[in-house]
Amino acid sequence: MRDVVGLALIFGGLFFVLVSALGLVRFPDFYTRSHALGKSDTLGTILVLGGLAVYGGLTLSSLKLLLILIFVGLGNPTATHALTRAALRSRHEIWSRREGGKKE
Amino acid sequence: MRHRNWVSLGVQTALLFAFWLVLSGRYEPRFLIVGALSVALVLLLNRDIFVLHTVPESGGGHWAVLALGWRWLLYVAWLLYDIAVANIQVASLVLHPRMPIDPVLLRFSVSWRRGATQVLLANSITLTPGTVTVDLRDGEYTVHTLAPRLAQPLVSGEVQKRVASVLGEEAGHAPAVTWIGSVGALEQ
Repeated sequence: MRDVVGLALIFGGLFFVLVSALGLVRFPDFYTRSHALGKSDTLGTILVLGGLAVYGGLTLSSLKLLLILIFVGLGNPTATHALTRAALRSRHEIWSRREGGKKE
Repeated sequence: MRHRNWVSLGVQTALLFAFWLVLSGRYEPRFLIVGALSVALVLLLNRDIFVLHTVPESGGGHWAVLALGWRWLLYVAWLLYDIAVANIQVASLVLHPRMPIDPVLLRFSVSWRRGATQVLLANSITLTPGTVTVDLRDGEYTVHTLAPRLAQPLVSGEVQKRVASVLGEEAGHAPAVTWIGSVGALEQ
């Protein structure tokens, strides 16, 4: 039972990591790509680590995995924000379908 | 030292020592003593920045701390749900053959002055569906969104209300939102 839940979480996480990698390739500019990394990667990592913790059972290692999970959850959005803010401050233009935006 | 600072010190000591125990995994006296010394050193070095500013100043005592913990739990549950929704929406945009995105910037302000509330809102926005906080200055937020409809909870003020209720701030009305089509237009 624990194996099934753990593996389901790990594969779910792998799906989101894959989507985030695909988004990185498909999205048109820096800002949209940061959406793919800031969100899908966070959830993907959380699911994979959580799945490993469930798979391993309640041991010291799984407690350490949970700690990593918390730090990823705090650090990833902060890093995403820092990167996009730096882009905005150096006046990197956003990709837009609308009038006035840059087309690439 | 005021009462709430003692509570804050106790919570930090417990958390740091638990962190030590998990990382070390050995419970003989000499490891515990080294751990206790490390915790004391960290508390000493961080004494200026580690104060629980989120505990309300006015009365309530232990019940106020408990209520705060409960509001945090509710907030974390809501955030986790939103993260899941955010990911499914972004995944569907990524996998959609025509990739129907319509990126735009939006700008709004909050009236809260406390840094903790402002940062919490910024991180909540980044983790929720299709929106990333790109700039925050004196309570003025600049947000990049993949599509205007994904920013709806921000426009209606729902996210702001949630964050305000966690830290006991005034919720206020739905914010005045400005939509901005390009970084060039932002500077005018």
